[in-house]
Amino acid sequence: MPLLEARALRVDLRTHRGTAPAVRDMAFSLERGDTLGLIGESGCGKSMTALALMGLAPENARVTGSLRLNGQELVGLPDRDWRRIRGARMAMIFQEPMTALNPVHRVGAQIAEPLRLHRGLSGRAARAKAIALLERVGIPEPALRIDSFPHQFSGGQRQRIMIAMALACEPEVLIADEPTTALDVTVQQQILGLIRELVAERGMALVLISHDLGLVAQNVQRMLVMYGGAVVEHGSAAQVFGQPAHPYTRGLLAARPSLAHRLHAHRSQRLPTIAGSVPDLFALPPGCPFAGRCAFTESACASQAPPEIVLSPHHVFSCRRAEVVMNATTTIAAVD
Amino acid sequence: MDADTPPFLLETRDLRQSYRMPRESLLRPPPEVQALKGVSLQVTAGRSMGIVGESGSGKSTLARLVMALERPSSGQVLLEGRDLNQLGAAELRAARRDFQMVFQDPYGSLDPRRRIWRTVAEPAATLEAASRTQQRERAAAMLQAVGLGRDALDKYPHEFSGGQRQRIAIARALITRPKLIVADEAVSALDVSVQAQVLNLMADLRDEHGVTFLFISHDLAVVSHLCADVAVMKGGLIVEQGPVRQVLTEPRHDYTRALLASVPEMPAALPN
Repeated sequence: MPLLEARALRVDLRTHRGTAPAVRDMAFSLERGDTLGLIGESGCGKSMTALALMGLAPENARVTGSLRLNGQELVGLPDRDWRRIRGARMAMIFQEPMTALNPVHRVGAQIAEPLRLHRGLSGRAARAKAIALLERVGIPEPALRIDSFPHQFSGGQRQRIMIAMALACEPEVLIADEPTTALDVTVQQQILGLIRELVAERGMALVLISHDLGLVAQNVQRMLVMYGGAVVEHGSAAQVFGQPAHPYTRGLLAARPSLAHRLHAHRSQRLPTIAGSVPDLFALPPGCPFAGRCAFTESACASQAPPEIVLSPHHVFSCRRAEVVMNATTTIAAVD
Repeated sequence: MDADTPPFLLETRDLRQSYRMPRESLLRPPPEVQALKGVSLQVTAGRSMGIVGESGSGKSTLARLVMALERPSSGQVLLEGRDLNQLGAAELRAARRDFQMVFQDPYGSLDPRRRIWRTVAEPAATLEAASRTQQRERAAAMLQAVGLGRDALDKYPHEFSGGQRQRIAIARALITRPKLIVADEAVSALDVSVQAQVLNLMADLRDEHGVTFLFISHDLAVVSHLCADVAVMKGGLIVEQGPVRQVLTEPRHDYTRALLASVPEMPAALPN
């Protein structure tokens, strides 16, 4: 039995404009020690997926399908039961440590809170554990810093504190939603290195969410590429990053300025961009969400759901025009 | 400098800036942070300069000083040889025609209650009297230069996406036909595919309108893409500067090497 398994997971958002299918047909399974990356641009549904995994989807969201933790169905679980799981068996590292930490409480108390709630530790024992955790995540002089407030730490340190909080109860699944977006590049690498190390050390499963393909590829075994609420490509990180198949994945990779490329190309060379803009979730085509922006679009793309093309046991993408797409050697994205 | 060589488009000489922090104790003077500790920089017209560095390295302070939004504690900012801090208020306002700024957050930098044409036309309107029709025409031309249609004129910022808003901010900066545009993390908040569109637009403006950018970012790859020269800042100082190619291939400072190492590049370092 997998540790965490999602099947046909779907999130619908009810708004005054109608219902928007924010996440459709999400499926994956994670064993202990597995690392999974979820990538896509704003509005693709990756953060909504993360919230649904933690039972934190907003009031106006309806989560359907199946999500099982060690066989226990989590979709539709009452709040009371979710509270026993969140922070204890599944934990999340949020995007902005500045806002996710409570500014009026000392960090020690914030790290100790889940320990006291879930583990029933005494104040003293929880404090001792909190100091050990701070030390583990690399905060210097943890015994002194434990009584400091969040504003007394740097951005990178705050993210380390968030990680300590998430790890406090030794969760089985760790979900990290853009854990390093607000940080400097050199600090980014340290934080991701720390997360990777801890995941390996404790045998947790990791879901790493980011808009940065390169960053994710370096830190996970498998990844899912999301577009318009659906997974368009998934597979081993090396294959998806090394031989991206879906036109969207290729466009995304090509659009990123690259240092290696800069050394060869003249500086007036243009970046290949993806034509058009992200589709409105209220007006998604019934077929492929990328239809219309994709250089290979044919009339059936928008109306019929794309078939899944299995390139290898570890690399699958959804595309109606797979044959043409796979034979195209040039960059997929149209130049604007 | 002898009279034959034209002055640099932008030059800063030993620029220093310190800020006073809130007092920690009644008995001691308030502590000061030195945000810039002597920055000397030369930007030639036509060679865009990129500034990279981590948060707190002084990049944004430098941008504000170059834009004469603050006075430096010491040092000079020269735009085509003129010291901005020696100019009177009216002269400075007139000089602003030549240098404009694009900010990081396209959601915070446009007035939500103004129609786009007013926002775009404003920098020029403060410099010279123009009729409403003239202003609208010029705004439309600038919007066209950044790839937006006439229909944008009467809309409000909330009707646009992040990438479109950043285009509007660029149109606003362009309207005075500036020689220098200071872009402080102007593409950092955008998605990769939108970022590529805005970078292409900036490259076009550089090539077609002769705009020189002072492009500030924490992202070395983005800076390198657009600029000819790059300066690396750390702790209020420029630790390394030179042509992009040279800095990328022969980094001399440890911090530059660390920056280069932390850019996720092609599959070389993939786990499998």
